[in-house]
Amino acid sequence: MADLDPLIAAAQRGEPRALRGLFERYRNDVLRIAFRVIGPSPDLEDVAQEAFVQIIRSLPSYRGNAKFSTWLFRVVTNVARMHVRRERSRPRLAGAPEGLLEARPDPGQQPDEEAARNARLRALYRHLDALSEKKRTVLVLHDLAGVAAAEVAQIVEAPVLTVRTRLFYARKELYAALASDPELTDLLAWLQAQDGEERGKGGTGTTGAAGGGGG
Amino acid sequence: MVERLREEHEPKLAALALLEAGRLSERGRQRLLRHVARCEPCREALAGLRRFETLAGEARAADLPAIDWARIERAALGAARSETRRRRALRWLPALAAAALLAFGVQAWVARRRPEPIAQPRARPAAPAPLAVQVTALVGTVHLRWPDGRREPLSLDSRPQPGSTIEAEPGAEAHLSVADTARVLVLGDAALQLNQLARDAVELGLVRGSAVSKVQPLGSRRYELSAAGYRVAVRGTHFEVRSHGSAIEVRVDEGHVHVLDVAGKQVADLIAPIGWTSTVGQVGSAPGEPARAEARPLRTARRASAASDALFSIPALPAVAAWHIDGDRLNAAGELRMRVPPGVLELGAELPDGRIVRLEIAIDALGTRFDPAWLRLPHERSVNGRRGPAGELDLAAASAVIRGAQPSLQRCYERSLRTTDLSGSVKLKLRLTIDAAGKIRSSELAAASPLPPGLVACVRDATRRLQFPPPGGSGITFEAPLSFRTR
Repeated sequence: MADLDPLIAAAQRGEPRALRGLFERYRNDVLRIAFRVIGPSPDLEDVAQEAFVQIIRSLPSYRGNAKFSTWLFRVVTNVARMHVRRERSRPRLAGAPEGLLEARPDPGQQPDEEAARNARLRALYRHLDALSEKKRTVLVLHDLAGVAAAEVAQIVEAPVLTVRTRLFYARKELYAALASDPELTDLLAWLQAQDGEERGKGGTGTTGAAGGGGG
Repeated sequence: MVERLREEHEPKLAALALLEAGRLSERGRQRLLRHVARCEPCREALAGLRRFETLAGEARAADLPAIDWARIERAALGAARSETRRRRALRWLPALAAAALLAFGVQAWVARRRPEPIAQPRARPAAPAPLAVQVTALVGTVHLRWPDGRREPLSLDSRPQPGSTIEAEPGAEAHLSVADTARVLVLGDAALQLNQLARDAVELGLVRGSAVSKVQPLGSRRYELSAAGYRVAVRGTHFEVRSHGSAIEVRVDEGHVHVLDVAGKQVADLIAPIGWTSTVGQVGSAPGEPARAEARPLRTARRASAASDALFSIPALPAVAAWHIDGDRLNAAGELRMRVPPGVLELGAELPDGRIVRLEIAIDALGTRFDPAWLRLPHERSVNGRRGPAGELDLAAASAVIRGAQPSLQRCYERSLRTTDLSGSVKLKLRLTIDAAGKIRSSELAAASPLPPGLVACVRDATRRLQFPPPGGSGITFEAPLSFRTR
C-alpha cells in the first residue's frame, strides 16, 4: 500500500476539516465527470450529491493502489451510470402524436445561440444513450471527459485492450448514427452558417478534405 | 464496385481521425482522399466523425452548470457523520452476536424440557373449497355485496365467495378471474351474482347491465350465465351478455353457446361470430346466410396475476378516453387499480380523437403509481409569441376541477335542449388554455357535429372562472372530453 496523502488519510478517519478540504479539492472534478456522463440533465446536482455521499462512504476502502483521482472517478462514474440506467428504465413516450412531446424549437423562429447549442448537446446525448452502457461509458470518459485509455481501463475495471475495442465499436456506431440523423443536418447547418459568417469576417480557414457535414 | 466496397470494406476510423486532425503527410492525405472519394462507407464514417467532433467540441467547451455546493457539502458531511456512528456501532456487533447466541441457546434448552403435546383427533376432511375468484383490475367504484347483505368496496384483495354480487357503478368496470376457468369483465352499471363456483360447474347470474366472459375450453365442466330468465350455457368461448330488463342480448365472438329458457328448453344455438337478442333473434344476418356479430370487438377481462405482484394504479384522466394494457382496453373514466408482475408494462393512452400514445413503464417489485406528468400535453405559447418553458399540470387535480363544474355544464346542455333538436347524448371536447397561475386564458369547444351557439356560450361562461392548480412556466393548454346526456 502506497503512502497516502495526509489529507486523504485524515478524511478516512472522518476528520471534518479533512473532509471539507477533500470536498473543496475535488468538487469540480466530480461535477465535470458527472456532467460528461449524464449530459444536460436537471438531475446533475442530485447525481453530484449522491457521488459525494458515496465517496465518503467508500473512503475507508481506498487503499492507495490506484491514483486517488482514478478511484474517485470510478465512484462518480458508477453513480452516474446508475442514474443513466434508471433514466433508461423510466417510461418514455413512444410514437407520440405531434403536440404531446416536449417543446421543440419552433422552426418558424430563429433560435438564439444558446438554445441551438443546447439542442445540439441534447442530440449528442440522445445518440450516446442509444449505445450500450459499456460502450457509452468508455466513449464519454475518453472522448468527452478527456481521460486517457489506461485510466479509463482502471475506472471501468477492464483491460486497456478491451477499452480500446469498446471505444472503436462505440465510435463506429455513433458516427453511423450521427451521419444519418436528419435533425442534426438542420442543427449543424445553422452552426456552419454561423462559422461561415465568422470566417467571412475573420478570414480563418479550417482543415478537412470533404466539404459539408451531412453524410 | 461501390457495392463491393460497402459490403466488404471497414472504414479505418483512426486514419480518418488523423485526416481530420491534419496529421497526415501530404502524400498520405491525397491517397486517403482519393480512397474516400470512391468509398461510400468511408464518406459516411467521415461525415459522422465530423459531426461528432463538432458536437463533442461543444460539449467539452460547455460551462459546468452552477450548482448549490453548500447543499451538497452539508449532505456529504452528514453522510460522513452517520458513517462514523455506524462504524462505532459495528464495534459492538461481536458482543451483541454472542449475547443473541446465548439467549437462543437458553430458549432452545427450555423448549426441549416442555412435555409433548397430547395428540388431537384428526379433523374431518372439509367440503371442497369453491373456486377462487381473483379481482385482477378495477376501474372506478365497484362494490362487493356478501350473501348476508353486507356491502363493501371491492378491492384487488377481495375474495368474493359463492352468493356474492359484484356491483359496478356507471363508468366503472371490474375484471375477475375465476380460477383457471374464465375471465369475466363486469361493465359499468352492472351487477353480477356469483351463484356457483365449483370445479365442475360455474354459474353466474347477471342481475343488470353487461358482462363479458372469456371461457377456457371446458371439457366436462359447465359454465352458465343466466339473465332475465334465460341461461346462456357455454362450450369454450368468448361472449358478452347484456341484460335489458326482461330481455337479453348475447354476442358471441368465439366458440359456441346455447341459450336456454327457464324450463331448460334450448331457444338459440349460437356459433361465433353472431349477435342474438331475446326479442328479435339473430342480429345482422339475412335468412340462409351465416350470422355475423357486430364488428365491434369484445373486450376481454384482465388475465389473473399473482397476489404478490406489484400494485399499479392510474388516476382518472379527463384527457384519456381509454387505457390499453397488454392488449386489454380499459375504461379511463375512473381510477384504475390492478396488479402487474415486475417487468415492462406496455401502456397505451387512447385520446378522445382515437390517437394512442404508447408508453413503456418499468414495474419493479414495489409497484408504480402512474404519474400523469409522463403524458406531456400540448404546450402553450407565451404572450410575446416565443415559446416559454412549458408548465406542468397535475391532471388528476385538473380532472377534479372539471368534475366540479359538471353540474353547471349539464345545466347548459339541458337549457339548450329546450330550444334545439339535440337529443340523446352529445360528446364534445373542451380545449382550455390556462396561465401560469391556473386561471383560464381561453376556452374553445369542438364537436363532431355543429353545436347550438347558446350551448357554446353557456359552456364558455361556466368555465371562465374555473381555477386550476398553477402549472407554472408559460401556462399550458389541454383538452378535456365532455359528455352530456338527458337525465
